[in-house]
Amino acid sequence: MGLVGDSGSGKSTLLRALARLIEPDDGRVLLFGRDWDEFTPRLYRRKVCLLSQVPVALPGTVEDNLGYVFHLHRNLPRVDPRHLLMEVNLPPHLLTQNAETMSVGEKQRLALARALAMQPQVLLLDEPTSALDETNAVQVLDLLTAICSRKGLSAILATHIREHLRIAHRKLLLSDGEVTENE
Amino acid sequence: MSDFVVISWQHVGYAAGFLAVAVLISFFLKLGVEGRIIVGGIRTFAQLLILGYVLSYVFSQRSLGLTMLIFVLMVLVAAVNAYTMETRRHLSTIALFFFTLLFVLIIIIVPVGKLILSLKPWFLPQYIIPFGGMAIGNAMTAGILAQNTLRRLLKAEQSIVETKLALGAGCFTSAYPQLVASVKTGLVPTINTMMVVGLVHIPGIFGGVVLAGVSPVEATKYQIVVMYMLAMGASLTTFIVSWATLNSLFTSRAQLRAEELG
Repeated sequence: MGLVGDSGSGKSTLLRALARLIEPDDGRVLLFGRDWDEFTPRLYRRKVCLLSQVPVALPGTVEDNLGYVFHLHRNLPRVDPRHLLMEVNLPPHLLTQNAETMSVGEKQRLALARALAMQPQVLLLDEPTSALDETNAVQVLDLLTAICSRKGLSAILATHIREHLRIAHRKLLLSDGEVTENE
Repeated sequence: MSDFVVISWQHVGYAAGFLAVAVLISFFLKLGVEGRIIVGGIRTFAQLLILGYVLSYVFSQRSLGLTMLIFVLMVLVAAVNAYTMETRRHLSTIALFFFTLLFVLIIIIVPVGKLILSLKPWFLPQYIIPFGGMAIGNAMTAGILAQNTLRRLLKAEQSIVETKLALGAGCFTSAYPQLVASVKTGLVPTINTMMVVGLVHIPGIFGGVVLAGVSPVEATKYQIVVMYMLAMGASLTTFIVSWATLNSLFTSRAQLRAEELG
């Protein structure tokens, strides 16, 4: 699903609410037919994962960043971190690099790899290409499309660029916090 | 005690000359704090005078109830002070500091009175009140420092904390580095004082006991007890205050209350 709207239209707020980082003023959220109150915050966020507009690398190496997920969710099947990096088109030799010194584009891919390690069912993508040049933006969108179709993931993509909605099956236009178009 | 020099009020008045110099410096350097220095000077005079008379009465009574009442008032003032020091004020801060400081005070003064000084009765006010006062003052400063640091760090590193939350981490796990940093920051002044005590500055109780004519070696014992007591008080207070503040900054659904960070 694609969410499009100008800056300040409420895209990020909606995604933050869907990730349950903030509480919505009104309404209900159902995940696969079940009210989100039926899930613990930990389990809900494992299934519904938010990638923020400005990618955040946690302190430590790239491997530490990927390992953090397995540290939090000990029942998750361990995945080779090199495999996770290759899935997002990052070279495995980056594993030992300090994650905070990566470029924005690399951090974006690292954040995606970290999210994929949780084996989520829904990805919330908040302007994942906003800090990238057009070439990198297209590459990231193609990568996201490929990953979602390969893993059968649902994704909600927020963007202010209408052309990026080409990868979405359903589109919502947001304006001043309201859905004004639904196609 | 025979070496103790009694100061007349006239001689105390001479000391006001020191304050006048501070006012003159402010005036000539256009610091604009002359009024505050004068008000501070008057408050110092009035507050200490009242303290002197109140303590004279309390010391003469040797009443546990009266001693505890003094402590409750001191803790209340400290808690209100912590509240007024906040950039964005939360009434809950008063309750948090009140109960934390009261708890810390009790677990300090009981062993000090009963075990270390072996007082009879254990709450002998002329010993217990100065000890308790120092513990409260130091713990309050440490607690305020820790709480402010925690809020400042959580605000500055909100994106990191929320990234961890979004990955499924709990509140405590998400903000653990900020919690540790705030407790450490709250402890810095106390640890620094322990490092240089006796080398760079001669602390209050040591000076006071020596001025009263007691030998420096005996005064040293008192000061050592005080320093160890302050270290425990500051540690406990910074931990309790930081932990409770951290809990208040997250909802039960592991959401950071960003609007409460100031």
